[in-house]
Amino acid sequence: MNNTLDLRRLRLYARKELRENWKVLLLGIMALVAANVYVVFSDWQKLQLHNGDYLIDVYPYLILTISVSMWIVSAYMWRGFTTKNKTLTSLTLPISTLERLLFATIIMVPVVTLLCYVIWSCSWGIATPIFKQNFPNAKFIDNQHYWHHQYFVVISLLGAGAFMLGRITLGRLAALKTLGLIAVLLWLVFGMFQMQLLHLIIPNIKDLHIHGIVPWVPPSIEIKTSEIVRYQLSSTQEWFYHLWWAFCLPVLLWVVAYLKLKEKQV
Amino acid sequence: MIEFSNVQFGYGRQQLMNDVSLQLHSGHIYGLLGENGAGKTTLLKMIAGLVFAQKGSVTTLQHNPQKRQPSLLSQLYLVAEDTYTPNVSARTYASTYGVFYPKFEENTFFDYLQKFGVNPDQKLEKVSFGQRKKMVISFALATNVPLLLMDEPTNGLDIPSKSTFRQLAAEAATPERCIIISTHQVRDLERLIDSVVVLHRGKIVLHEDLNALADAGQQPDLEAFFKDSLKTYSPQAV
Repeated sequence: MNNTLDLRRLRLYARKELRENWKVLLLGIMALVAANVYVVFSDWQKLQLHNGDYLIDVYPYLILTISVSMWIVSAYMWRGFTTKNKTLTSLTLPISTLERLLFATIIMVPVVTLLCYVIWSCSWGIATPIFKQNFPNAKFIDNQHYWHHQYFVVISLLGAGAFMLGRITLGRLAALKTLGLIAVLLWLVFGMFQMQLLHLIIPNIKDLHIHGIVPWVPPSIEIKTSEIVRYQLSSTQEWFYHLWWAFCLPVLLWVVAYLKLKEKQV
Repeated sequence: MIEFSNVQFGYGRQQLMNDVSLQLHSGHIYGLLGENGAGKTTLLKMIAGLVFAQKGSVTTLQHNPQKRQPSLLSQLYLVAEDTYTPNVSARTYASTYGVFYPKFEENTFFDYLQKFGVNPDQKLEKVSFGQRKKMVISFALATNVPLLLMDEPTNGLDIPSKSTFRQLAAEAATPERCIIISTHQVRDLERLIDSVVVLHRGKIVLHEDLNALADAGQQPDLEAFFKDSLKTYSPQAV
């Protein structure tokens, strides 16, 4: 018997998960449809408000939907580890840790992305001709670059890794606890620690401005001298910084989640 | 089949098992006895790889249970005291989980359910704790795994069901199978177990083959036996 990865076992595990969670899956799809309908409707209202002179950027909605869905699914995926008796039942099921992780990954990444994409493209596929017919001046921005933007990778994969890890280690209300921990960590690292560090390097620093979400955009700093001077910080090593946030850290979190699951005791 | 050698285990500073060595073989129904908190559940979990020995080693069916390999997990079944079941019917449960156990017999499972008086089509979250436990016991017996671990299986069962449990467990015992039943309700296991292991203050204080005693002309009274073994090792406690 292959103790690491067996496709038959993986299939049986997938069947078990789907049989036990089909209602949740259906509810999730309905929620996605509702979210898309809401977004389409709110853009319709904005068009009416501006008499059709409004730019419609549909891609951020897709990215946001995928990221949030990935977070929710990753928080829900290993709910078999919420309580002691559930953990005991989960851990004695004859499947390997790799199979468990692989199934979670398949659901979290390709399935969620595909599902969000299909619902999003159906919603806008129906809405766009109606919009164009009623508001011929409406402009649709083709911002497809979001797809390969590092924000998307970082927010979705890093978040999914954090929520998976939280589910294994934090027990009850793991999703809320993880969300709280993420907020506190971000505040500590990018609020407290980053400013303290900058103060050590540049004692008369006044402020740190970040145009966008930290830390993936080059920040600018204000230094108090006789007059306030603003510098845009940039480095030749930025690629390394981005690589760490977009790929290394998410992979690291997923590996830690795998190892924690392997070492889980009840 | 199962071997503990010089195992130590504790929760925090509290030492639960101290230098425990034990061998358990197939063809027996072991009664694992001990007071509350003696470490019976922990011992069962250690066999199944749910907790890890801090010192020493545990071998279960030639596997290191700590690795929780599917080849081991498909050969053992643990009936927990407070068992969790998903909200599906017993019929769906059997078709979903039975496939993970190569020797699982669906007909036997339904037969056991009938003997326990459990409706196979009722959702498990809508039935009582006792009914759920009967379903899990039936499933465990029908898996035909060589190693069956049961933690307080009679807790939550009514008197007729306890009798049915004893009957089914006795029928399920084969020379290839090892059944370990942990309990502090000694009376529930009488006339069922053939070997007794008493765990007390982190040690195995008694490991006796009851059949051998019976053959030697000593008809053992399990409760008296249990009390005597505790008295021997801690006279002030009993």
